[in-house]
Amino acid sequence: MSPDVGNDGGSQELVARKCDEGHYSFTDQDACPRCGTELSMEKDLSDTSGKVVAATVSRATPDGVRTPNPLATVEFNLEEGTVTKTGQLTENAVREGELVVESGDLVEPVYVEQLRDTGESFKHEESQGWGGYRFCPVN
Amino acid sequence: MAYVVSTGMTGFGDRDESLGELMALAANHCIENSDVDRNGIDGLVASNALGGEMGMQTGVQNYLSSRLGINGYSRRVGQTSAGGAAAFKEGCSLVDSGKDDVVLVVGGEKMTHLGTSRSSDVISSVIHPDEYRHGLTMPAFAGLVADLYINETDATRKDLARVAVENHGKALRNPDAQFGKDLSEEDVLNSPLVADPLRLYDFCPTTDGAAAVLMVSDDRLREDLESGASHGVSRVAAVAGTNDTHAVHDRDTPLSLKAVRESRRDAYQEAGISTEDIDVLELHDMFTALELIQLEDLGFYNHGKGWRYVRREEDNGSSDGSSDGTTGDGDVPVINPSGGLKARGHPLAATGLAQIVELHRQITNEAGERTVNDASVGVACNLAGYGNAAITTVMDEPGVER
Repeated sequence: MSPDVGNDGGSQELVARKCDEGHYSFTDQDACPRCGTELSMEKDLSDTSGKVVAATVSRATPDGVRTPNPLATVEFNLEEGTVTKTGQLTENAVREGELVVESGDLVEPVYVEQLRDTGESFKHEESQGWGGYRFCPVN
Repeated sequence: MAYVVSTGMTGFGDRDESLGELMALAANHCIENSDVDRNGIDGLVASNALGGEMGMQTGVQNYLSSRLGINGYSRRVGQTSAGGAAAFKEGCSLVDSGKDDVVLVVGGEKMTHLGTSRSSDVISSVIHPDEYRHGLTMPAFAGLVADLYINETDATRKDLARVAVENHGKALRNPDAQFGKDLSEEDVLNSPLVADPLRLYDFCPTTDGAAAVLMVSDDRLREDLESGASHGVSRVAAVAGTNDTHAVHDRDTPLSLKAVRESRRDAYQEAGISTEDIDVLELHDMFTALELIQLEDLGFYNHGKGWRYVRREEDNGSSDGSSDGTTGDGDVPVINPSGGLKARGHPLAATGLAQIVELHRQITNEAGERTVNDASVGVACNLAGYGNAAITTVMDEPGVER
């Protein structure tokens, strides 16, 4: 695991948390983002495959972000429900300019130290952490 | 109870004026259109999302009060792209509480000077850090939502194109709109891909512009009317705002916006209306699919059925349910007579006020050739980010029984 840079409300880890009301999230915030109750359970999903729920290729990217930037919302199955996360897909998700990942495909998390170039980004590099997991298609 | 007695707007588009100049222009139009003397304005509420971040005036409320010659206390209200409605809500609170009798609310944004890449990054800084680090932008969210909407409902890519076509057609009758050209479905479907499956014409443009409204209390309105004032008046029947999670992936689904549903519920309840009472609706259609999702969350269609709006002429209008002040049967009012964000343009913190300006002008029959016949109840929905917050406003014609 890479250490987080400050408490920015966005975990660089892939740890699902469950609140007292049963909501799952990847939050590292102080309470459940949906209902405000205490977070009590943690499960590391960094070695777990997830299923693509939605995917896109961002083709007009901001300064400091790769072009194109394939992205997906991925759902992970847990014992009593599911948890979802939106993030970058690995480069091989785009071939000859076309997205080759679609809803229902399996992907696995791959850690990347820096997801975008902070020198080019509007937000200052000290504003938050920049590492995180991309999702790689499982062949 | 607060009443709107005057409105002002700049034209929306790629403009040469600075942020402060744009906001002053709209404010002066609004004051000059009214019977109110500027030194009789008790409070100024300014709305601007990213002025300093975009290299414009920071703390624009102080620039404005000084430039406009308003002695009443000024403040700035922020709620990202829902800043306009948030400022309007603040103005209503000042009047409803009895603190102020006359309040000027002005929203503005200057965006085109930065170029798309930079302005997109500045706007993206409002999203959750966990999403920002992945390079997510508002258009990228839109692409994910549209992919899911098409996969999980019976909506087609062509249905989304029809949303853009409708709004561009309506904007032709709005001289303040950014776009003054018709679009065909083919134009939309052949425009460059921005975030698959969405293309350039699925999105609102980058826009400069400002809008302003002047609101007064019951007492002040009565005094004005007794002294012979003849301006059009609309009533603020309700303004309700609610929030949702900051990170979109923390929600059950991005296809239904809790902030819209709950602000709708509160606003309809406070105003005592149902969807059947609404004559005109201004939506926050930052991208095409969002217009359909809002129609569902505002109660006009059941979940996943909003695409029926663009196929309504081939639809038999069969009802598919009802609940809390909503019909869900596709009986829709006139939507976005202004052209909406899609074609009127979207200067972030001015948009919510531009929606109120449109409702006021519709209710007071001041909307020119786009005036909706006998419109007495209007609703506007203004969103912050992708549903981080939503504000639903109900405006109506004073004294009209429902």
